[in-house]
Amino acid sequence: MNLSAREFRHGLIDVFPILVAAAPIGLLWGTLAAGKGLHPFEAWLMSATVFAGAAQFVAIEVWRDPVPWALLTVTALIVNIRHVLMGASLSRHMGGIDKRWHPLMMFLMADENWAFSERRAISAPLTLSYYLGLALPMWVTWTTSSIIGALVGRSFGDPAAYGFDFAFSAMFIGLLAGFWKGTRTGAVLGASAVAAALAKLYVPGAWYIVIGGIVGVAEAAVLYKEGEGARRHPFSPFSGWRWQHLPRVLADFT
Amino acid sequence: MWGIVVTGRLKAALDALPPAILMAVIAPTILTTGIAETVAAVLTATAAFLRLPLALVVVIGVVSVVLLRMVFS
Repeated sequence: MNLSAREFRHGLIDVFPILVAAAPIGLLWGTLAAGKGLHPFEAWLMSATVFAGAAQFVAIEVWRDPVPWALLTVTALIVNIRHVLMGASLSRHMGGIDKRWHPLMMFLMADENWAFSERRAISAPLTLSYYLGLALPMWVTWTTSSIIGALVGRSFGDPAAYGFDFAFSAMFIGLLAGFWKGTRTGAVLGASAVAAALAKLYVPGAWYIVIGGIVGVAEAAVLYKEGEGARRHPFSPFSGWRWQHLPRVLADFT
Repeated sequence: MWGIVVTGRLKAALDALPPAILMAVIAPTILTTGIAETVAAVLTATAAFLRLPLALVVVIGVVSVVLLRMVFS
């Protein structure tokens, strides 16, 4: 495998602003993980092996003893199902890269390095060096900021005393704004929120996440009107990718 | 992709899945914890809609919930 320092550097330059944005989020996750009783090494291990921000935040949110592993598995799958289609899309550009590297590349795939790689592939063949230039700094930043957050979090004690317990909700609200497509999105979110809140109050365990998700999806199906196929959104893994969407996708992710 | 085209109502439903799940995760915190959390969520959503950077949105949420808890406790 010919690795190119120049290609790696191109990747590093592209991903640098993402690293600056990801570090505080990793710190926050580490702090919350420590608040739930995870040892800093356990927090590092989870970031190193899961390497998926949203799924990790969800996991920590529902973390309790005993760990609800079935719920965690289902919700992590739903939160990350888009990666199946993103991976299928990226694989079209991986033909020039030795197959032995493909599993590692897919493991390291995150929204941001996927988007940069797709953009790169428009004008030049995607190389392993460029991809690693994007992905390895992200992995190092995410794992390092997680363990620092966990170490600092332990000395903080109760995260609620500083409002850190709300940071997770605030981050998800920020992420949700990227999915906004109009009032219909509001109706879906409203249905999901009410169903989840009621389920939390009346259904034992943490199944409120799945219940809220199903009700939100049902709401979207009910509100759908025939002949709206033309309305597309770059986030949708099921719609045709349009390259002119890329700047907006990148803006949403950063 | 894979020769499968998902369209129409099914596509609308599948597109709604990620935001519906994100919302469901935080709904109990922002709706059933207390007035401070609900108001802070509205302020945070306003910041998010102004397209502020994600880190700043989080800071606004945390600071507002701390201040609101002082007011409502």
